[in-house]
Amino acid sequence: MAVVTAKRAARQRSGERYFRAATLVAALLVLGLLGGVALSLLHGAWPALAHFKFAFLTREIWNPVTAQFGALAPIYGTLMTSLIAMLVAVPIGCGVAIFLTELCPRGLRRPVGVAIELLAAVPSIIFGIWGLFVLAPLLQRHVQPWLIAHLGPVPGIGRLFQGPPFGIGVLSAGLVLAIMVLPFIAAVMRDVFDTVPDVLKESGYALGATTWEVIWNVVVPYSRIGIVGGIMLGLGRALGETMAVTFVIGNAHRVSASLLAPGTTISASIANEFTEAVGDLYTSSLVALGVLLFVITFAVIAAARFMLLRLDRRALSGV
Amino acid sequence: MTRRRQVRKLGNAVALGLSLLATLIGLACLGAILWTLVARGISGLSVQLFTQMTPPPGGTGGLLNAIYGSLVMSVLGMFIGAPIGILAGTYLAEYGRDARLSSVIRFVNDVLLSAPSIIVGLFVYEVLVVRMGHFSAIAGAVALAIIAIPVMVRTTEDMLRLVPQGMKDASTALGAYPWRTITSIVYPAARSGIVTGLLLAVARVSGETAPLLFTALNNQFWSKDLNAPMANLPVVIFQFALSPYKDWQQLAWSGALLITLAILLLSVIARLIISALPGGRSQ
Amino acid sequence: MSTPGDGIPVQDTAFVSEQKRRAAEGGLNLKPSSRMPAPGSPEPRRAVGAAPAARIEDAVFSCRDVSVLYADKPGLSNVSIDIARQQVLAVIGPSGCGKSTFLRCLNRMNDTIAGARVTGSILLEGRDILGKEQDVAQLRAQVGMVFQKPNPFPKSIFENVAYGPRIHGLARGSADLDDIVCASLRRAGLWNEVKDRLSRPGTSLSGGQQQRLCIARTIAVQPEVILMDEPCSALDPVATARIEDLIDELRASYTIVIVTHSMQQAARVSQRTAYFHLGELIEVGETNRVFTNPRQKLTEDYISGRFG
Repeated sequence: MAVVTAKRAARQRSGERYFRAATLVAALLVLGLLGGVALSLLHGAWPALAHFKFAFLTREIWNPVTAQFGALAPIYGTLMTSLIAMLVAVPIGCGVAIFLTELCPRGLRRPVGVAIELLAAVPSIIFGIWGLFVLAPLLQRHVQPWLIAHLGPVPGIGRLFQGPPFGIGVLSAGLVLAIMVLPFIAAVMRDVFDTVPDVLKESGYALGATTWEVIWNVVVPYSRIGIVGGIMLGLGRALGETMAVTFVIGNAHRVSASLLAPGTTISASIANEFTEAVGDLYTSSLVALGVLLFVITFAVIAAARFMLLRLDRRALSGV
Repeated sequence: MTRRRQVRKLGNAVALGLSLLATLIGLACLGAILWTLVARGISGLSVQLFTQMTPPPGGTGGLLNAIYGSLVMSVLGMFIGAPIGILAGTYLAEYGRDARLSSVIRFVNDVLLSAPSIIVGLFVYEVLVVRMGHFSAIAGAVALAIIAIPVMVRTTEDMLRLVPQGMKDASTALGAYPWRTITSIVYPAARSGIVTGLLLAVARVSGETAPLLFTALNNQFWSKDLNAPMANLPVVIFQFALSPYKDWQQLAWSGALLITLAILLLSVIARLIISALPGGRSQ
Repeated sequence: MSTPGDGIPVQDTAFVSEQKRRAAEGGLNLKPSSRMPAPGSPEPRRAVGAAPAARIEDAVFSCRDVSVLYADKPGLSNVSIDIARQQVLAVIGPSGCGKSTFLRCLNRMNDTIAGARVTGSILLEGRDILGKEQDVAQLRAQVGMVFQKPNPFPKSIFENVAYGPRIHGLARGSADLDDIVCASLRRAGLWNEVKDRLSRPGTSLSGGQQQRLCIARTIAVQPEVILMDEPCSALDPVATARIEDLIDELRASYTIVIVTHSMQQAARVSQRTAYFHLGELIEVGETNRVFTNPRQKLTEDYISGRFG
């Protein structure tokens, strides 16, 4: 006969209560973390937001001496560098993903795929110093003079390529960002393309479609939401990225029409100035920048995750 | 008809050629980065690197205090983050499988997984550094823990779900309460998966710079005090690379190489463990 | 909750009329009176012809009007049956007939399935196990279960068997635990095959050995009843024969309920057989009698292989 004492059973029951409570508390902590981040940032940013009000968003001035702060330049720089990064990384990332899922010889698929995934794990500071020591001088010497000479005089887009070739600046930051998010976008895209059932592709081929026609008419429409989600996820990374950008952006609180001019981004401003900021308003203004970044990236990432919900969760673990 | 076919074939060739080109460009850029890293970093690799402190400008030295600080803060961060992440992942996988709360938590966790790390730094600054009145290794570790938690939650949930239901049922049918089943059966069965998650989280955490900038700050000297600023590789790399001194820049490259090698090694080991897992693990 | 004699619970009426329709089509003679026994009568509704056999003096389990709803779909309706002490009851029926669902009621494994609701009453030694006061862990220590697929834990052979005694604190000291493990492995007929490799993982054994390991693991908790859910369906004929012999031996000390899809197996190992169809208990009685002289048309059709 089973002799399970009541005392022992009671102990097991309370063990169950405690363990269950512990897991629940941990899970709620994850939830609370997001709320905590939002609240504490708002709290820290409050002096600046209350002082400058809405003008904080629209003013370009950033003067620690007179304690006048506006977020326009960092906002512009954040959006512009991310835009450049996306313009470069999305087509290339898509190309890589297409190559990996449709073209690549079977034997190469895994090694190339793994290489891409490993590169997504390389810390962003590496991309930053590479940008500073290798890419920026390269651009300064070979690419930017050509851009200034040939595109500068063109009416319209010429305004984007004015001024001396500094090497560092918005364009360089955008390109470094592009290279940094490239493996990430390629890996997510590949996972998205992999969700297309083989049957669908095969029925395309059975109708006599070429590989490209199958990709364009079957794979892309089927995985449309996933593709947008993947791009948004990459965008979220680019917007919030700090180290890859800080090295090469030039940290100038200016909105310049030219992409070759130095600028700043939200995260670069915070990284560069936070520890040196003196005065409550200065610090608070930097935290207020953090709030802006939080709002922008949260919206983008939440939208991306929402679109990627359909994707098999396991496919994305690790990225 | 044949003309049309030729056009289609041409379009196909062009498109596929472009995708091949994209792959080559992408791999070339990334290869160039790694190549530079190795080429510039390797010349600075020496015993000195591991035995001496970070030098003042113009002096010679190593990265000992930074390496030590990075290790301490990563380990401490994992000690704080891993239990929370594992417990939360356990809740999602075992207790709240289908509850609405779980899907909200899962979603929030996914958002945290890709949230900018500098924001985590600001958060810890606001809640810890301001309260304590100074930068500290503890604050740095907490920031790293917050980065690690979402990674651990995600991998733990995924890995626990791989444990066959039959095994859990067998334990339940023997009269085990869920906590007993989880701690005695599910965790051991998912051990290698959870270890993989830990490795991935360490890899993620050890390269993070932004959250340490205004939590742990930096320290030029040897410090074991967790309550004081502590040197760490990423911030040293950041400061030294941006400095005008050649010696410092060299140290930055060497540090960057070290960090990258460590992270790639961790990732490769994690991958090997994953690929060694029998699929689904049911016999 | 419906107790015996409440009449037909509301949620069952649709199902009942559906059953009547089927019964009419299938030529099954179902007297309305048999579906609604007089208030207070504990007589099972379904197994009319088998009433004397369905009720047993000194039963280990007595189930009355047990119904299971899975997310509002009926999995089992109004099953009333007694389970005799130290006998083997075989539960047979076509797949999806609710036989596993019934088995999982007896140790409340249905609790682990979200949305499953069990009504009626199940008395184990006169105690209602469906009540809130029932500690499920204690119940499951008293009513062990062996599953379809052998599922040893990712632990050593020794630890697999020791797991139950450990969680219930049955052993006083490690020598005692050794004894329990040894005795359980002996009873499961596995001792001689594994005594030299107790520290090897449980998964290193063959399928049949793994299943006997699972039986040893169940015995180690010293249960009163052992539930077996198609324990041989993943095994080869030789391993199956060994398990069947084992069941015959275990009968001396335990009450066994075995769900099986093999009628031959039911005939070989059991003393009583219950036939389930579409979530209802159609007939229960002496195994010999059920197989040679079924009283219900459905049972006869199933046994003679007309469906299933």
